[in-house]
Amino acid sequence: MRVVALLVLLVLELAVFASVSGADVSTPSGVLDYLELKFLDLIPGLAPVLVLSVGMTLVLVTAGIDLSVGSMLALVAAVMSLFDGGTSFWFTAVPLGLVVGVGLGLFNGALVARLDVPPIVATLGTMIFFRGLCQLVMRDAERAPFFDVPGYEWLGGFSGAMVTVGLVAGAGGWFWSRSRWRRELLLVGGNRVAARYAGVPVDRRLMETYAVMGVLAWVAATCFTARNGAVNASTATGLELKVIVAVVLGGTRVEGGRGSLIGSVLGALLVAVLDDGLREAKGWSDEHLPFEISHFRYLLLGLLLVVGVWLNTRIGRRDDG
Amino acid sequence: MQPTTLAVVPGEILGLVGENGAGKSTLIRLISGVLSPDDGEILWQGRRVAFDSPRPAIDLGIATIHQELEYCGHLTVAENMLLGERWPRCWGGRIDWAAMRSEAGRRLQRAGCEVAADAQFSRLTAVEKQLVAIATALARDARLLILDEPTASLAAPDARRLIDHLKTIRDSGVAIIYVSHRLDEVLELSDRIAVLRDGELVHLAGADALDGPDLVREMVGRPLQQVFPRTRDDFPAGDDLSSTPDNVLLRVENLSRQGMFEGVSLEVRAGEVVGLAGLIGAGRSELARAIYGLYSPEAGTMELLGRPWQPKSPWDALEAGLVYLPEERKRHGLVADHDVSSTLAIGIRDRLTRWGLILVGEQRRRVAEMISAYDIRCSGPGQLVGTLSGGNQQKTLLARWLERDPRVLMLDEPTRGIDVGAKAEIHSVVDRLAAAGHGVLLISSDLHEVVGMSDRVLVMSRGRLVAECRGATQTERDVLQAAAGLATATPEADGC
Amino acid sequence: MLSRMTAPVRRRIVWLLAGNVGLLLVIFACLVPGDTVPGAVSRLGTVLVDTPRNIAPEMLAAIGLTAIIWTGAIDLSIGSVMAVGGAVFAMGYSHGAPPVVCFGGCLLAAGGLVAGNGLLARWLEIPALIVTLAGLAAYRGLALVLVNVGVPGFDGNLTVPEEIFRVPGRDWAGWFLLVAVGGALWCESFGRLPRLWLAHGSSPAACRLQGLDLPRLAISAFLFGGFYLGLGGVLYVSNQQTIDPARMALGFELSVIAAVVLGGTNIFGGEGSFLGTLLGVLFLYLARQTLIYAFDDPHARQAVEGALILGVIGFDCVLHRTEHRMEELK
Repeated sequence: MRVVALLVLLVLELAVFASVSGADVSTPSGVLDYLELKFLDLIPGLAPVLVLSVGMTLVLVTAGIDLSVGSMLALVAAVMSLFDGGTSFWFTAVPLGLVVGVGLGLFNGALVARLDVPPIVATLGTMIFFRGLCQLVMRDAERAPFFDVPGYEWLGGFSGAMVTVGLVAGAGGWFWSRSRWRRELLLVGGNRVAARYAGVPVDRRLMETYAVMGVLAWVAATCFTARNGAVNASTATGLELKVIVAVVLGGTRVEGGRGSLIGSVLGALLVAVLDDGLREAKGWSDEHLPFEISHFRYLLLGLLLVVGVWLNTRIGRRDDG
Repeated sequence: MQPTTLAVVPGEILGLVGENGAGKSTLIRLISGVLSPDDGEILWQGRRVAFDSPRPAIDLGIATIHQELEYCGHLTVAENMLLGERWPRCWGGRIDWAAMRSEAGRRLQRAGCEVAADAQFSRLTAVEKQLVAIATALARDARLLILDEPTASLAAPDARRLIDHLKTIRDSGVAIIYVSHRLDEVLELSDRIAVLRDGELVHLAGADALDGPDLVREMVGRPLQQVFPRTRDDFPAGDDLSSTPDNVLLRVENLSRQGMFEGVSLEVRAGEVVGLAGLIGAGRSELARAIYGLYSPEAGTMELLGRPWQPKSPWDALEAGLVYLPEERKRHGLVADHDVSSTLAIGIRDRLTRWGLILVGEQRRRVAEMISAYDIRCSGPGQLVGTLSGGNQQKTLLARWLERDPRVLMLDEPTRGIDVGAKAEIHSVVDRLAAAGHGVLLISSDLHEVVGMSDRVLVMSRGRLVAECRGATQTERDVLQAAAGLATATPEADGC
Repeated sequence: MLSRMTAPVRRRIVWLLAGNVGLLLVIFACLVPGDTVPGAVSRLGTVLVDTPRNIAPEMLAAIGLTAIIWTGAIDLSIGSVMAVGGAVFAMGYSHGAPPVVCFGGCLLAAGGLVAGNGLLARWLEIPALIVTLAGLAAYRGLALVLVNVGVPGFDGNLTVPEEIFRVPGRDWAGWFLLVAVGGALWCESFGRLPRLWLAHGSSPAACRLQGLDLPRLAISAFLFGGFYLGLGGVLYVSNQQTIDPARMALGFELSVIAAVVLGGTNIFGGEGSFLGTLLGVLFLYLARQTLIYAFDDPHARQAVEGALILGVIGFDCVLHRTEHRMEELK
């Protein structure tokens, strides 16, 4: 039901932005061409958000939240950018990036699981802390060794992105849906005390969840840098909001105990199309609107978040009642 | 709820009984203004009234003490008592805290409650909280006092105190509606008794005309076998308690944890039901949690199935064949919007997993088996557990542990807040378990249950094991005396 | 007032008093090397004299947020709300409006948005957490839109050189603080509403059963919070020479939440004190000053501040941890 609604919304979105951007969609072949172009264009840019949405779904299922994903991505990318391009990059920077990602994720997990800090406060803090570390690492510079690494750029292209997304969302998603780990996380998010009484190692599961988020932040960082080639101190600012909106639109509830990966993937698509559409509409907006369309994006995202959660609550109430 | 007509007069106690789902809570919520009726009317002193929120009902003089006491723990007793009213003020609009304190003190005194008005509410004991709630209700010049399961979390002496109190209140002209599963209390207190079944009023009569079995029959609609079935042979009682190493499943020696329990030693043997009785705060649940692995004892040793037992977590217990059914099924056991299938499957998740993945077909099969084997009444495995009745929820939680075929079971208040029918079902399960050679530690505040179901009863008081009652001394009175710390005429070393 | 606080809150106040005194001594110790003792004392004096105008926005916002948190809600958007206030101010200023109008607009905008958060959360029946998380982004965008539309020729920031606009924030900050904070403390000691806010956070069900009007109670806290935040916004804007809506008050909400939590208020509501919040804000401010004297690197500043706030919050949570775990199991 939710999936159908999301697909319909997606089609609507595409239609609106097609007309705004002036593409020729009057003939079937025109529509196909437009869709193909969009698809090829979107997927590489979509990959980071999609990968992070998968992780965020897990975190939300445990009744948590992770506001630090943008800063994590930036910090991992920053650390990787310290190395010079070349083949050795694959053996030095990339594994180190993974280590950093896991470390940052575990840091979040420790705050939430071991120190019992509420996730919203903990990740709000680490969002700022990690960004501060990123500033410390990058200073005022912008580094771009990524395109000098052989084979790296492929990750940022269409096929590379498809492989990444396929692995994370496809294979990962399949494993997730059947895993015992998922059942336990659902219980942790649904009723933490009941999870303890049922023998679920709650602290460890929470640490694992945030650590997975850290790993996915590393994956997203590679996708991102493979496409953009450069990183600076304010990379990926505001990314977390897009991810949360995507997951919420996809039907996952903020209170935990329920989650849908397919929904999150579709939600990420929706957000990506929106983003892309707004960017394309820049030409139109510069003519017709007095402000920059990018400012409008923040407003829109905030609005979408509220609407998405409201819908979830409404639908949830109807299901239970 | 079906159309129901009921009347209460001042100076009488009307007992309201019925199985879970019979409509008692709905009726209470309609009268107290939490819900609005679809049809029909409420007449107060002959006048027609309608409530769209609790406020008008309170203003009229209807005071409800709900089963789950709601209070603001961080505020003082005085503030809680006067929460919905106007607070006394001095010049300049300042609140007169001294006047508030003395007003609250006055109300408490009138209700016979000796609690300090400026104590922080969360620091009161359970019975003090209950008494303050009643004092609050009385102070509002309540003409009708509705009590929903007031003694559910009280142990015998406190319940007795409350019951005597209610009689005094009744004699002063207040009408009382007393809702309870404790039929003996209802029979003692009430002047008339109303029985609800399936949302309908099926019986309304003077309390003298009814007795226990009559009530049960009316509530359930069919005659019931005894509530405490016993098919197994009597456990070798008497003084010759031979505990061979083979048949002791669980042994605990000198177990202590500061603030919870001290120097507790007990044994559970195969085929035995050991009752663990005591007042609230005696430390029974804490002891069980320590045995289960939720926290570690500071001193003493434990042995499970003959081997030293030092659990790091409940999962160790589950793997070793020890299960624990917690006291509060809603808070500690269930997720209301998960379905029956997931709730059952979690209990046997390790049996359903291969390489980290759940075998979906296997889960479906086992869940269907469990639903039929344990008679869990639901519309299907997809029904949300939050919508099951209390008895079926408890059966679900029990079923998932039983499916693991555990050697030792610790059941904490397994039949609290459950109707008679489901109670009997759970009791027969316990009986069958013991007959099959498992060991059961039955923690219960229901004296009838703990005396009727156990082979012997251990009594805890203030964290210590104070008595063991078996055979001739296994009676409600003896257990109660031991729990309250009262000495008997002929004190024995370990007996009552 | 002290007798109606819960024990942990009282203890926290004592610790904070000691901590603040300690930090003052540390700052003094940092100032002494390279100077004479009387010279260090006078420099310390300067630091103290500067404190009201630097601390006022955060102090007022913290008091407002405390009331909101007491009821069990939260507001994550206060930094962005300040940005909108700044945008409205800029709009007024660029059209030549008198100071009263500019500051009034700022106050109304900020207060209105916070009150709006409360209303929206109540009307849509979704947690304030989500509404204000959305607001965190949306209001920042709104501020940018407003300033690009409403300020002719806006190019990223707006400079306000006239001295008159500096008066509230720089010269009168101390008086504002005295009146506003004093008012809050008086309210806490002698008022009913703060106790009702705490009751709402402690047990909404109990409040409802006793016949209190929950929505009105919750919204009243947001109104109070909005007013104080608006005042804080006015003082903030007036203390700046340039208005930069994209960057102003970035991360503000986190330091305010940290100050409130540090002050002893329970993040889930139900317990806390304005006095504790006051001391908490002061403590964080002095800690920041200490760091400035200790570390020099501007790039490290955000990281160090983030670490400090995380440390403070983590420490507070650890203190409650065992009790929390045991309570949970009951």
